[in-house]
Amino acid sequence: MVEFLLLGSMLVLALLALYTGPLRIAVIYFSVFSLICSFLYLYYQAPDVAIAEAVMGSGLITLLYLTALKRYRVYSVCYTNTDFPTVSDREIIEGTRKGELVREIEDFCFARELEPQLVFTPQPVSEVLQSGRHDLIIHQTGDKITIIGNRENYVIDELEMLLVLRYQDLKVLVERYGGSSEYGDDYLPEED
Amino acid sequence: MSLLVYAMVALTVLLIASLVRIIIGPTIWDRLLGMNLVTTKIVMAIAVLAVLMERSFLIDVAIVYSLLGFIASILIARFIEKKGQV
Amino acid sequence: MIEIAGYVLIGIGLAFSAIGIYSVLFYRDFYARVVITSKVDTMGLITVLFGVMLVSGSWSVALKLLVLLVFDLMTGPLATTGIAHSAYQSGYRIKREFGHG
Repeated sequence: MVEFLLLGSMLVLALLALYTGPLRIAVIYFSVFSLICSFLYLYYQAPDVAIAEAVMGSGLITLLYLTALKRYRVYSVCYTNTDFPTVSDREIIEGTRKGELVREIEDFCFARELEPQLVFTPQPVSEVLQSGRHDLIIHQTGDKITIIGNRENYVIDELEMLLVLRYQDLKVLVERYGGSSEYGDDYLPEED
Repeated sequence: MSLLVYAMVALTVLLIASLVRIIIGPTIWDRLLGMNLVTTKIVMAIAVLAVLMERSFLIDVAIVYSLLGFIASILIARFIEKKGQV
Repeated sequence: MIEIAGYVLIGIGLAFSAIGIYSVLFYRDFYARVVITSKVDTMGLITVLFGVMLVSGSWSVALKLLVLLVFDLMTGPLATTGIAHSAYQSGYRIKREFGHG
C-alpha cells in the first residue's frame, strides 16, 4: 500500500520534472522526487544507499542545477489587480479565463529562454513602477488588461501580437515607457 | 505494533495530499512551501518506520533528512530573492 | 498503558498534520499558508515524535528522537521564514499598502 502510493507519486513527479517549462520549478520537482526516492530506499532496508541518494539528490544536484541556471535571465512579471483591496490566488486565476493568460505568458517566456517569475500584488500601478523591480507589469481592471513594459524590451512586441490575437473578447492595451519615449524616462500612467 | 502500519499509511496519504500544493501552486514560493511539508512528513514517516522495524539507526538518517530539506529550501529561496545570484 | 498513550498522541499529531494540509490546500492567500505551515505542521511533528517516543519504550530511541525534535524545531520555522522573506522581497503582496511600496 505505502510503497505503491509512493512509487506512483514518484512517476508523476518524474514526468512533471521532465515536461515542465520553467526550469526552477523543475528543480523543485526533482528535489522532492529524490527525497521520496531515498525514503523508498529506507523502506527497502538500504539506509546507506538512502543517505547517499538524499545528500546527492536533494543537496548537491540542487546546488549544481541552480548554479547552472544563473546563466538564464530572470524575467520578472508582476500581476496587479486594483479591483480588490486584498488579493487571493483564486480571484486572480479566475479573472483571466481560469489562469490561461498567466500560463500562456509562462510558455511564451520559456520559448524565448527567459525564466518567468510571477508575482501578484494589489498595489496600484504607479507604486509598482516606482519600485522598479519588474520587467513586465500586467494590470487588470474588469475586462480591461493593460500591459506595461520598457520600450527597449524587444519581447513586448511579440507578446502584444500574441495577446491581441488570442484574447479578442478582452480589451488588451499595451503601454511602453522609457527609451525614446515622448513622455521621458519618468513616465507614470494615470490611475483610473 | 500493527497500529503503526495504519499511521504509515495515513502519513503517506498526507504526503500525497501535500504534493498537490507543489503541483498546482501558482507561484514558486507555494511550491517551496509544499516541499517543506513533504520534508516534515518524510521525517515523521522515518521515525514511525524506525520503531516499526525496530532499527534505531534509521533516526540518524532522519536527522540528515531534516537538515538537507532545510538547506535545499533556504538555498532555493535565497536564489529566487537575489534573482539568480546566490 | 504507556503504549496506548503513545498511540493516542500519534493520532492527535496526525490530526494536526491533516488540519495543516487542509488549510495549505484551501486557504485563500499565500501568507496565511506560510503561517499554517510554520505553526500547525510543527505542532503535528512534535506530537507525533512524542507519541513515537512513548510507543518505542526504550531510552536510547527516545533520546535520539529528542535530538531529532530539537533539530527540527530549529530548522522548520527558519525555512518558512526564509521563504516568506524571499516572497516579500520580490514584491509579492496581498494587502494594499499606502505610502512607499
